[in-house]
Amino acid sequence: MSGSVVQSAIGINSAFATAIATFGGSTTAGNLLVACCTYYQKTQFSSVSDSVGGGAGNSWVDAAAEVQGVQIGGRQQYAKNISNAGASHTVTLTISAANYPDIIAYEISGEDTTAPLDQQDSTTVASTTTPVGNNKNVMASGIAIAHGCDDTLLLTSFTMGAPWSVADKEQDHTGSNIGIVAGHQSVTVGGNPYHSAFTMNTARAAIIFMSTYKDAAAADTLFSQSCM
Amino acid sequence: MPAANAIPHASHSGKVDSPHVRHTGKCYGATASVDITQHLDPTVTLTLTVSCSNDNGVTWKPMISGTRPGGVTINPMTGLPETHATLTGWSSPVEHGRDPLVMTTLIISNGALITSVTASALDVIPIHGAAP
Repeated sequence: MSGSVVQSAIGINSAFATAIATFGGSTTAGNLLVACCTYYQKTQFSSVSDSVGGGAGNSWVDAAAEVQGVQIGGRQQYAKNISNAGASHTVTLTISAANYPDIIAYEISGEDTTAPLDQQDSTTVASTTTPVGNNKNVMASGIAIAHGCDDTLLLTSFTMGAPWSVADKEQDHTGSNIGIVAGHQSVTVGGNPYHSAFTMNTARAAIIFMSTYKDAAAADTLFSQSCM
Repeated sequence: MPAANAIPHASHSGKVDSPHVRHTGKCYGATASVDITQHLDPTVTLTLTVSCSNDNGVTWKPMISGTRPGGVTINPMTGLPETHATLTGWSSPVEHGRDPLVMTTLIISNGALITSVTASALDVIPIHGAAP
């Protein structure tokens, strides 16, 4: 089974201590949730959590580890094989003060339910118009999720081009938030090394993240090969 | 008759539901803003939620939400204290509703607060990439 994005949601807040992304449709048990996070004060991350209709959520762990830029921090977390799913499913980024949290959440189907995380990359990039992440050789076919943020809080166009498919983005640094963009693409084992790639209209420093997740079918293939 | 009955409440605590506002068009997302100029006590927490109903108020779904303790937040771009805290959010693929209702809920915990809230549904996403 190939992984595919079911839905996504974005929450971008200014002087709040939480940012909440609410899925429009019901989530499905067994799927994978991914949370792409940025926050203005790089040391103020507290947690990612989720809730179904105000009730119980699922367990979250780091995918792409935290990176701290000059001012801004970010990270990517995931919840595998979710058992709590349904309508009004929210994913919440909590920080320790009311300081501009942003979150983009994905629901992904068809991924390994036991150990979905394959590769991860988190990095800061010096001023450029085309920040890219480090190359990663994926070990199994699946899906890659990347996100990033301009680290300089200056007005810029921050986006992703093909083969990345941008799900949600917010880039208005002149308003009351710091901005975030996230995208996804399918990845194939044995293909060229994968990396996150962004474009900006003006050279800026950035913090960028990418995680790749394994398709459920890939685990079966590896098991069959090991028995031959 | 006590005169207080005729005076609108200037502050409140607990949960207050605003009147429902009918929004004509599709409900892609929402944006909201709350006055935080008097929200300075760190022991008081404010929670603002904007919900949407596509069935004339029978069921409600939260769209955007945020919580904040009292205190001053300095805008990193201007260097000035924020006077309002803002929320914006949406989901993809979009949920197509007909004349949805939009409701704001403000919960103030552990105290009272003088404030005001504005909220609106988003017909279109101002900065938005392709849906997955």
